[in-house]
Amino acid sequence: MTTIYNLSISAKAILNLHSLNNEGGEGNQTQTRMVNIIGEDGRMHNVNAISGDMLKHIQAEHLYHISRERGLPLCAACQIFDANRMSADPDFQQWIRAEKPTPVQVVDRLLTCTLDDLEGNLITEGNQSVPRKSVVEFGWAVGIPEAVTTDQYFHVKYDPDRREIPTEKAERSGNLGQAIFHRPASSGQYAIVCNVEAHRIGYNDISQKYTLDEEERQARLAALLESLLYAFVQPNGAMRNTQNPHIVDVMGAVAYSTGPAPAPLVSPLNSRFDQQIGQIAQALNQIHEGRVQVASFGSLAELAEILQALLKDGRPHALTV
Amino acid sequence: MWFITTYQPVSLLSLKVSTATSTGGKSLLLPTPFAFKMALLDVVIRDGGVDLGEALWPTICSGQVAVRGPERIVVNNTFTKILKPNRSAAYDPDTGLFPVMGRTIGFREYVQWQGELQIAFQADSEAKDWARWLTQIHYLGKRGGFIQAVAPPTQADELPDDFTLLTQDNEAGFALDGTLQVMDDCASDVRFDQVNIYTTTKLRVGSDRILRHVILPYRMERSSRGYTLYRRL
Repeated sequence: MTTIYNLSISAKAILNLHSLNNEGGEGNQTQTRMVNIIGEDGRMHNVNAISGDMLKHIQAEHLYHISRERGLPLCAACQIFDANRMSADPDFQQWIRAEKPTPVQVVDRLLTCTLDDLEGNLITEGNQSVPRKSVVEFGWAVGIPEAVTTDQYFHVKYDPDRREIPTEKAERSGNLGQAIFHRPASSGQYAIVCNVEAHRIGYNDISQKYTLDEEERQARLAALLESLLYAFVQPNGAMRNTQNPHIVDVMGAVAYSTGPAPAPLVSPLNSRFDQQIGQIAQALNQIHEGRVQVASFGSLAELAEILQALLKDGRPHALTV
Repeated sequence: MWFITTYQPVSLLSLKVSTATSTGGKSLLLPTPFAFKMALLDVVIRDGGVDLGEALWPTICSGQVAVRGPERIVVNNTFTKILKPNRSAAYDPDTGLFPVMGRTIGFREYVQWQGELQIAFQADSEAKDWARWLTQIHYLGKRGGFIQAVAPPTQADELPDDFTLLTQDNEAGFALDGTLQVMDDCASDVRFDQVNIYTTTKLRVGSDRILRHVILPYRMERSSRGYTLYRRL
């Protein structure tokens, strides 16, 4: 049995012809998300990126489906994947107003729902401000300079009868005529980083107590790791109806700690990231009693094998309470 | 004794200035003493429990913090989708839910560091576990703003010259072409219950959470609609 306190994934993924995250639009032109970063060469590069919010949304949706399938508990709002989570649940609202619970009681109640527990929430109802911090965290997925490209492509919604353009506003609102538009598509290598605080599953950060038994915590960890894997296998971002990404390759390292210690995380923007993760793990093990483990993967299949083994055999670490 | 920890940036960070609003999230270039002390308190509590955190809080609160930032910093301007409290939320008969948070967009700045960040922390009491705790800090600001300690901290009696001390007013002068940042820190008499986010005890900006004007040794090199590039002097 492997005890997991903290787990991180540093992955370099090749995604081609995708548009998973866009910032907005001007006229008929969709603007994809671009960020400016300094590369290893010390020069600034404007590269395509996918926000951590989008990655977390992708993972959360997979977790939602897994939870429903396995009968893991979900609140009324999470049963329909409402972004407000338990805040939108009428029973929860009624309880907050009538009982005026303490923050400890509020967090205990949030922990009854798998999504509120693992993805976090902020309760503002009834003049409260009670946070449940997410167990899983994502950074931005950033295109690696010189290894990523973005272009705009011209498309037409074809109408064979295009000479008859409606003049009435009401008729135009039906969007029945021919339309031209530009859509972005990006291809290249992306640096993806995420972290899982497994020891916090079912843990009330205020009372410093676990509200779930070991079996329930293990079931949630297994669902969480599986949803993470699915996020790499099937990244459900934007514009997948016509631009589902070609996932060519994924390589990197999974690091995890078996007790209180950080799982090292190095960005694949650094070309020696996998080597450095090993070196950092070695250095940290000097002060963290050999708790840090690293498993490298050279393909998506190998990542699947590593996560599969951990979700079968892994147990979330329990803090001494 | 100074504990100097070297952190590598892992992802883009967003550490909002203390005056930022939910719709206008301007970010600082480097972590403030307040942000660093809260991150350190967080790992101490996770590692040793609330009692240990409370016992060590006076030491953390009065600790000195200095930084040596990365070679270059890029600040990205962007808009993201956010959820914002909707005070007039009404029952939605289609879903049977109360949409208490409404979807909107907000301005956010995300900062990328090129190069390592060194943070020096001076505590006025002996605690053998500082090295372990300092290496456990893994994010600053908004969650997902990952950093990674690359090795156990080194120890020094004197603060190296190229560090900028953030917890004292700079009387020795500053770089004229530097960058002004308003950085927050804890006043010396802030109690644990004031920084405990689960209590209702107030932490007042100006008296408990003090704001210090710091000139960081960074010069703005280039700027456009989408970004600003800074280089260390």
